[in-house]
Amino acid sequence: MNKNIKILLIDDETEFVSTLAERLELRGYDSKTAEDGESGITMISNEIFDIVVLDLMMPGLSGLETLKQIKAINSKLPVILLTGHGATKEGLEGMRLGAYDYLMKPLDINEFISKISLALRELE
Amino acid sequence: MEDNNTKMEDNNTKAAFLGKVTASVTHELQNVLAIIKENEGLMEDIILMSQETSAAELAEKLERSLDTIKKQVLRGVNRTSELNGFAHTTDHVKAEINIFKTMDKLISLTRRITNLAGVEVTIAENAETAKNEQQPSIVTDPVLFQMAVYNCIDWLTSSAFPGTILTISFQKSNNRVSIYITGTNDRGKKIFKNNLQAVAIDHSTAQSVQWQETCDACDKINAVAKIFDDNSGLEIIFG
Repeated sequence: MNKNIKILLIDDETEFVSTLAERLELRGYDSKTAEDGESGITMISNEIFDIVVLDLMMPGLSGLETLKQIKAINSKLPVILLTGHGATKEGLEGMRLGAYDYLMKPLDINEFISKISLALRELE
Repeated sequence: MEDNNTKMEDNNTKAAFLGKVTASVTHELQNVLAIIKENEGLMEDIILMSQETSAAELAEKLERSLDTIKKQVLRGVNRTSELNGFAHTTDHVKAEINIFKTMDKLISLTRRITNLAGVEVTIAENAETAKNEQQPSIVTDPVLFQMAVYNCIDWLTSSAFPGTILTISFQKSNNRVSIYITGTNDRGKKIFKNNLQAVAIDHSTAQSVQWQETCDACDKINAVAKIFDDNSGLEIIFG
């Protein structure tokens, strides 16, 4: 039943996002990946996603800048941010800019999925 | 009293530099652990769902995850070992340091910071081939040396357009050692957002604060940073 939920994962750590995408696929989600902010924004412009998971520390377009551009395209699209420890300042700044919440790496898959469910439920 | 203040100030700037490098490396280590954790989780998922998978498919998926874990463990071990070596540079306030090896490790440790700005830092090939011949060395404070060079790299990185490559080369003649940091990109002569010489001379602009800090760091190890006439980078002169 999760198959209808489309998730976009944006992170320059390609092995991290590809594995996370595979785990989400095993749980029935339809997940796609982008390795930088620019390609993530292009995908959001061309495709409909239900939720975006975005790393804050990326080369090129920063996570926060990417978030601003995502919100400019679709202000209602929920975005969950990923940060490292000690990066809570950026996480809070992201929430101020409209992100739903932020999570710290390494992720707990159950917490991650419950955060996705909560974000989508609030949208209903 | 003044000596104590200077020493305290030196220690504060050293601590800030060590903190910046450590924060960047530990952030990368967190990513390494995150990848390992996701792959460990994926292996659990695959095993749990193994009844629905053929033996060949199961083996292929598990091997893929194991390969990723092995690669990330190696990445983590390398970074940790570099970080450990870096931490030990604080052991002595004066030591003979091999410029090539020190620069190589410093670039590796700070790669994440420069990459975030879209800049690549590399050592010139001729400098690399010289590593087995007469390797230039210098007797100085190892932390302040790395800090001075890093400040120059950091200033040039923040001034450079994304896509710029900063190439480091060095030269030793008699008692003088020079480290050159030269920027190149596909924009032709437009490597830096500002005219470096103008920024360096005009101390009232915001960017010049960083230049001032760069010069201060060089001063502490009796070095001088000099911007190239063609504005393509700078030279740090020791001795």
